[in-house]
Amino acid sequence: MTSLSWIELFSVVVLGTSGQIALKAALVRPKSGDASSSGRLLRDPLAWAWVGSYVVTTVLWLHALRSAALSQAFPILGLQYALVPLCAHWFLREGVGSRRWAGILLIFLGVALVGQS
Amino acid sequence: MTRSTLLPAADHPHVLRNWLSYGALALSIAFGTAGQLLMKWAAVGALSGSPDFRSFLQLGFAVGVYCLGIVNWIIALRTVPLGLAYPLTSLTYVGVLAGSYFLLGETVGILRLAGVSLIFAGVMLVVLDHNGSDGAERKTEMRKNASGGGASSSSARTP
Repeated sequence: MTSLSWIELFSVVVLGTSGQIALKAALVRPKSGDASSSGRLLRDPLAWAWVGSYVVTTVLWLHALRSAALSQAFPILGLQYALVPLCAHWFLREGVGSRRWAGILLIFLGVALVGQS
Repeated sequence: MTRSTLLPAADHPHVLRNWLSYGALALSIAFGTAGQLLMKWAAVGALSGSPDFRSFLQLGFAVGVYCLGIVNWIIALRTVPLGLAYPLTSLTYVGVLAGSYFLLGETVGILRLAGVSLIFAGVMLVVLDHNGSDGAERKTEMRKNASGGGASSSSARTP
């Protein structure tokens, strides 16, 4: 994998995590009486931040895939599985128990191994 | 009509909505896996050589399949909590690893296999902990509801 592909890959992870947190924050936003109104969602800047993150990460991902093996690059995207619960804990106050902390640690170790392979 | 009067009035629509949400979650995982394999196929075929109509079709098809996964993801996230829905998409690892090996002909060494297994185990631990720490989850929900938000009360439910 080229160093450009590595940079693109880690940008995908950071942007992807931010997008998921933004979408969830938009969906659970407490202000309106009708929670299922998609019109309200279309006017929400947080929801558009999620759309934007998806577009940018998809382009970066496609470009990284030109030189990266899918079996190596895709597992590294798994860092998001550790970062999303961490950020959901920090920003959305979702609960994180001890087993989940252990899982997050395993993901970091696994990503380090796949990065070496 | 009779059935719905037997069930607690507030519960009935929630149960149906939960089933639809988990169905959408399963679809988003399937389309997501196929989309990854197709995108690698398109990135190698369409983006490396000189682009022609055929390569645009390849790229469009790959991104289209991937987008079907996104649409189902939005539907699922309306009910399923992000902390549960997101780890469940880890099933994509199994499909992508198998597809990379059998369909794309990539070499998968022992180190890579060990790393992916660790990641998969880690994600499973994260999922199991969601059921184990239901109390912590509920406390968070209650705090949210107490502070004025009622929209997400059904998201505290786990299967």
